[in-house]
Amino acid sequence: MKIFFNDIITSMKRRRKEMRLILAIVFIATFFMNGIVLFQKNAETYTFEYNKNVYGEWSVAEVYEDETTANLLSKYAYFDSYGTCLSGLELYSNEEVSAGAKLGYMDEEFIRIGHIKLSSGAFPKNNDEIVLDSSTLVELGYTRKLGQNIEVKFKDGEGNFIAKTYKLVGVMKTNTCNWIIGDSMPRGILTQEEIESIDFDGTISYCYHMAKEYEKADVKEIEHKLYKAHSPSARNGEKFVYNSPLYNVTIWGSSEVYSVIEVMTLLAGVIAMSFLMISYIQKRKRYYYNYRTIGMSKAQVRSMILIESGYIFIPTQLVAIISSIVTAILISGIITLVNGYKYFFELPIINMLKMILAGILLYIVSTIIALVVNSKNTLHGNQQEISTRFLFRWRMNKLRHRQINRSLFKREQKVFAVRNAFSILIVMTFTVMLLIAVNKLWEEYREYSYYFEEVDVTGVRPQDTVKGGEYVYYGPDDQLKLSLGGQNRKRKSLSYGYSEGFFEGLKDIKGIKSYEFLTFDNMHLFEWDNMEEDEYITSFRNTVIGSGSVSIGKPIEKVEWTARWDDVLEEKNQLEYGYSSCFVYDVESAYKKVAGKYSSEYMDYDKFKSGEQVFIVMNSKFDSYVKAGSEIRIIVGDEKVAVQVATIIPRDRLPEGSLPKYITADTYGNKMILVASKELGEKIASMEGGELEYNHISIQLKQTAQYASYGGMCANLIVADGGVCDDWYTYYAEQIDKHRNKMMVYISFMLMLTAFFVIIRINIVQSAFAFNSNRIRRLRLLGMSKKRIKMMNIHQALNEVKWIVLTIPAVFVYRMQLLYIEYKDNGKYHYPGVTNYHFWVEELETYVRDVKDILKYCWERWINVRWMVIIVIIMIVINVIIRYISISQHLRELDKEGFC
Amino acid sequence: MENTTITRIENVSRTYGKGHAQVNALKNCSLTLKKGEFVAIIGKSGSGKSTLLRILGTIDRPSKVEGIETLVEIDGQNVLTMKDKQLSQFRRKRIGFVFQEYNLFPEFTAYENIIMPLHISGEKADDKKVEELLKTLGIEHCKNKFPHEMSGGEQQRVGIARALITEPAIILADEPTGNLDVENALEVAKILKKSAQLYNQTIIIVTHDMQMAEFADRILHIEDGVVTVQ
Repeated sequence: MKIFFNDIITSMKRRRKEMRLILAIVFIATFFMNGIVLFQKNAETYTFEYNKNVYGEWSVAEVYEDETTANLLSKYAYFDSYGTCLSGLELYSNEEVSAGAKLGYMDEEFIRIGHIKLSSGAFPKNNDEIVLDSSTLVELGYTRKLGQNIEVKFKDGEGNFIAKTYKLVGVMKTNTCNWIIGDSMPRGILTQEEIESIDFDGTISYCYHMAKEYEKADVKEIEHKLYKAHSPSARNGEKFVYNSPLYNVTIWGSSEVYSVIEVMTLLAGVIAMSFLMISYIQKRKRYYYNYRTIGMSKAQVRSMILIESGYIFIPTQLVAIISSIVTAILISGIITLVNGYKYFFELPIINMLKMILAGILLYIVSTIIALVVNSKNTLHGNQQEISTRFLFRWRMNKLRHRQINRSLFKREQKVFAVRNAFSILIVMTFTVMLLIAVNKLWEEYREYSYYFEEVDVTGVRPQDTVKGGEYVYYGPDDQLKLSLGGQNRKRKSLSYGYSEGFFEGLKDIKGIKSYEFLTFDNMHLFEWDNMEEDEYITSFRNTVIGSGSVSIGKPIEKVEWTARWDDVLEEKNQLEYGYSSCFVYDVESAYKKVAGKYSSEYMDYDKFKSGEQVFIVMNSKFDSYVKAGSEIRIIVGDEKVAVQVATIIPRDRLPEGSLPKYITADTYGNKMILVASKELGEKIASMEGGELEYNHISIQLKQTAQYASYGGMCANLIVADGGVCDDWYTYYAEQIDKHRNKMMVYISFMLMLTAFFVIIRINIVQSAFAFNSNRIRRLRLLGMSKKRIKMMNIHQALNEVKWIVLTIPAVFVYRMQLLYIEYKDNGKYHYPGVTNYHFWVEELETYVRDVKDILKYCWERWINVRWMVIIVIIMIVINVIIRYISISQHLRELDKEGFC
Repeated sequence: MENTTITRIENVSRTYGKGHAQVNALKNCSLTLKKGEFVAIIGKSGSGKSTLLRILGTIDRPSKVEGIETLVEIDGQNVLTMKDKQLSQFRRKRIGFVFQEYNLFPEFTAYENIIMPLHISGEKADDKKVEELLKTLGIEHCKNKFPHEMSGGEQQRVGIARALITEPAIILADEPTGNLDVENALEVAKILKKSAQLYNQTIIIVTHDMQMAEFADRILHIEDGVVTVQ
């Protein structure tokens, strides 16, 4: 037995060249499989660390309105420390306008547990020092310059304004606004002494840090237990919560998905390894036959194959497991160093066992499959195909080369058909799928990068001076749009925005190609005759949307709806959120656009301009009482302004560019939109005692413009005029990082998989040559040149192109279906040229474009045909190269063996 | 040459494939070979020569034909009743193969190739015996050479040495000179003839080469799966 074993090992050692390829495949496959196990676990730990940075590392928090309440949970062994935060003093600017932020105090432990960080400076030590976040600074009209005096106002217990001046010593990052208790977090920090000296009704929050021994415990369960234990006291408090954004995040959605991914990977590994072993045995078949002729039994041949397979798998898998772990440790280390997280790499014993078990399974199952598949020919040594009949016929009948070619590959195709087609299909499917994914990521990355790098509206850094605005890249037009993020809704007035004089300033900026602006408003309700019976209203009643706004998404439960409907309808007798109105500045342009496409007999430019007529955008699906010529009454306080509907613009058939961009965009967020002239807006504003101002601006920069500087000028102008918008800087930066990292991972996977399957393919092709070896040898003996044999193989490789091409439509259909589901299920999709989303309302289906539209969108946006063609050509070339190199090598080997 | 029968086959048929693709490689063949006899089997391509050789070599089994009793008896034993392990052992000890393509293991040296049948049995090689064989066949210089380092004639002699190492009762050679030049072919034929005489072995060779066949004591013709004795 020992001699036998030694011979097998010697044989394998001496077949180093042949073994190298096989060992490489096994190594890559095992590395890849283990990589997935390691990636799954560590993506989770990485996300956990990342989330800690954003949401703090506290586990459970108590938030009380009554600041005298003692912390209840500090006595529990679950927690090793806690931090305290006091908040509630609402900040006002010098003009006594609320900055939408609170002042407060955080103790050191809270700052530590909460990962409260400063982008510059330090936390206050003296009572005249303050730390504010950048958004609040802008709200108050200050820059981020440290050392400056900040004058703030807040109300005392009796509601009187008190003004105080502090020195700015630090600028805080604003992650707390993402917290589950974010509304209780201060955006301005004072010293404890200073905050206690001010009389105000605030909230006190205690955030508890989980003790090490409970780190893996179910935090939700603990919080639930604690809440039950303290429910009488907890009821007095506002909140008693666990840090759900930190603990509830799972990478793939659920642990079942983990298992499915692992099983699928294992299955893919087994299939790939089985192919490998089948090919290996096929290639060695001739030698196994030789062993049989010199007296080896079937059992001995099987043992030999098992030993060979073991020699291939066991050490290689061990090396692959160690390599994958070392690689994962290194990658985690680099990420840790770069991001400053806690080292997050974890390798639980269960995962280690999984890896070992997967290795053993891979070895045993693939060897057994290969043995079963090859058993007949290998063990019985049936060499019928060695018959010279075919070649004899060729010699005798002087067949043409093409016929020889067909005849030579006919058997190969028969024996290797499944493996041939399957390997190509897998290569193509994986490659194309990943390519589509990479393309999607790239497109998104490009857009975010565009916001970030090109359209840096501050000229310095967006977060320094401007709280964002919404910068949307429209595609080929290179249009920049600035939106002031629902300002009007927040201010509840038509008179808060930018005056006409403001826009004069824009004219001085050279890079601007054009701009348009209007006032968007959803505060003013309208009514019409027989409104209560209107099908439009009925449908709305049936699908009133949760959380108070039509623009948020999904229909709520009927019971909830009924309660809400009653509130809205009975008290206000109108549907506040169902309507919005746009007062356009460029009346003539808006009128012309509508008149050109949705003309009606009632349309009259003068009436529209003077505010007697309006356009209504609504869904053409409903037979509403609102028609061209109907009267609509806009409710302004106790009064009503009657206007005539000039025409109805069907929202669901709006062609791109048919209306000013802002109208088009906002249309999708509201049930019904009224488009009117600025004159009507001015009239309503004056009825309310104000002047109409504009809150939506769309700016198109010239293609050649310096986006950073001109965008910066626009933004500075907006901010100088009191613009209010959100901070998108961090979000975009994160998206860029996220997309870049994802792209790198996908591209690595793509290269790895392609390499892996290309090697498998080489193996299959080589097996086919081994299978046809005698025929090739005899062709050579009969005088066929090497060149001719190579040409025959190139011809065969081109024959296999059909498998490559066939894959593409199938992958496209599959991918398009996935994209469709993704967009459909998300309830929204981004439509080219429109800045807002479409919303999915199941029962009405009013916001849903046709499937065709979604697919068209997906096709245009995510499928890059040019890349597909390139990848197909690359794969064809690779396939030809594989055959060419393999046959050349095979011919060289035949020469070496002295057969030719 | 003794008068003892070493191999006897009776009513052996072998078919491959099914239906239209069915090929009758051997049809009801019967044959008796004597100990020490040198027999050449000649026939056209596809006539069934190699099939007959594989059945004689216990690598293949005859097809079962209803109502006809088949017998393959080698060295007094009915190989058709043997199980694989027994059969392999029998093959190892009693039968040697020589092939047209030499069928050497490319990763092993000439010496290692020769002693491989012994290793399969778990036996150690008698180096003296190997040296003697190498000398007899004129390939002492090839002992540590790999197949690709040797000429066709040398490789075939190594193949013959491997067949002879277990001192089998029968040597089956499938076109052993097919890939050799005239000089080497003659040399191989002489070696086989000499071996038959020296070790009282039965040599059965399948060949196209009439010059090679002339070395044989007896020539069997095979045509469309039927053996005719000359």
